[in-house]
Amino acid sequence: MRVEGRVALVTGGSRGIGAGIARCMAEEGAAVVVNYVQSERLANEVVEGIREGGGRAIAVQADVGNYVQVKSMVERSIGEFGKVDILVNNAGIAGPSGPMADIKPEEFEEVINNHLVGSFNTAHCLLHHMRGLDRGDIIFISSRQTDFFPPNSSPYNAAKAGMDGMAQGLAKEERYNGIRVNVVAPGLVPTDILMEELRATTGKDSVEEVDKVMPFGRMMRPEDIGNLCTFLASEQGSHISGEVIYVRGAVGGEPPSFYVNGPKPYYS
Amino acid sequence: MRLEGRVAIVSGGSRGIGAGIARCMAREGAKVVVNYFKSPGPAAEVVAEIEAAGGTAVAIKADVGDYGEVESMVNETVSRYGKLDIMVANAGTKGHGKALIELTHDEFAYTIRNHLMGAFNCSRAALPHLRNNVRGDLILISSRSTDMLMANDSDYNAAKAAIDALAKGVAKEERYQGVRVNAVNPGLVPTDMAWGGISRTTGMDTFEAVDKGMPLGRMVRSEDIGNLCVFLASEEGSHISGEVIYVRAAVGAELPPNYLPRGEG
Repeated sequence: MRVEGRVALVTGGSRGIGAGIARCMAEEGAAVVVNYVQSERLANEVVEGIREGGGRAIAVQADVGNYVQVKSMVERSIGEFGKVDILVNNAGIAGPSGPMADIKPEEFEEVINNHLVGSFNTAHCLLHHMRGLDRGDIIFISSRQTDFFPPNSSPYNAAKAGMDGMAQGLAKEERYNGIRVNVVAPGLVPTDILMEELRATTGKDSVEEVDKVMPFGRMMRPEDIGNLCTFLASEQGSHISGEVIYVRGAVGGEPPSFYVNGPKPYYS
Repeated sequence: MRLEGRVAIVSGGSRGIGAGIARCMAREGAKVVVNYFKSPGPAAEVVAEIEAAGGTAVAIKADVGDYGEVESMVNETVSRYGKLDIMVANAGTKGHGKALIELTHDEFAYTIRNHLMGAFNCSRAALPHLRNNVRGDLILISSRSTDMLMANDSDYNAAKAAIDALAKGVAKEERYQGVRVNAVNPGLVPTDMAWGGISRTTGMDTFEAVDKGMPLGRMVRSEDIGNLCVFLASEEGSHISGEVIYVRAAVGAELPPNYLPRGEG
């Protein structure tokens, strides 16, 4: 077990990628705090699943964009499990789609507040605590978008690029304090939001239909992301810090329109 | 065991980082070909160590800069173990440490031959076999230098930057063939090749002395590189391809004098 004896706080852990990370951490021996803001029922299901598998977990509600709520979540987590030595900043919302010229300032602020200020809040509430432990790990879940910055996505582009930048500098600040900081950037994972987008852009209707034409036979799954997170937090990944690592199945900086319709020769 | 039933070649597997990768892969169940060129003794030691731990390995000599020799090594591997599904192109030599204006054509060509042509030869000879399996993995060992591109290192910079580019492009060519391609870029590992420079810069003469002043408590070790290679080639890393991944303990693109500890002298 890669993370036995450790305690992981996964923000936005009730659904999608966050739920996958929470499950992977628990399977590898960590006690897990499943954070949620609205999806109490789903968060409880993730917790139940972990407990049925013999693991330890609790669900804690907090809006990551709200510092006071984050602080009390961190206190509750430490109260329950004695410490938090792995933080996974995964919570986020889909940004509005459209040219920047037409985006409302409040919409921009909401996305930045969730992704960027939210991950600042959690890290800030835990850094002094982690410095007192043998080892700490902070993993930011960013996005494939920071390698190609698509149009009509400026709030999301800005939030995720900001996250990548914050993480790389933070890794250097904490490198003599035993704290590892990395960014994991998922490729296409079939969440509800993504499938809606793919339906609109490619006409493909089901996960299976898209999987069939993807490199290596399928889109990413939350477990692919979770497996990298547990590796980074394990002894084997202990000297990887300050990196941005994409899990995207060989698509590099290509936008989805290049590969979601299957293999095709280049420039022919 | 993460690599049970798989067959790996590690070029330059007799020493340093390559030996670490070979040991990690064998520990996770892969049969390992320990390639060497000039060090039959150390290669035999790595094989003996793997066998003593219950693993399977063989040492095969080949100059990676020579396509014919690489191809025979691959063929010998396939006839011995039935297939080849992991190729780690690790072999390389030091750069000449000179400004470009002082570098001779032959010196430049020598470094390019050993690193870049070596990586090409290993990839080219292995790919038909990697494609033949349900899954293949090609891992090119590059360097921290591709994010620093230091002065007086043109031959090495050019060779390793080109290797990163190979990894990214070939990953796209092979993505519908089941072959994963990544570059793994080690930070400062105290191998025979790097220790002299580290010792000179720090004024320290033991690994332990340097380790104490390093980020995250120690220099990077061969096993750190091997562990990442194993992860990438395992089921858990199966959807990571086309990436360049540094193992450098939070130093980013900083030059070594920025983070290496200094002795009293």
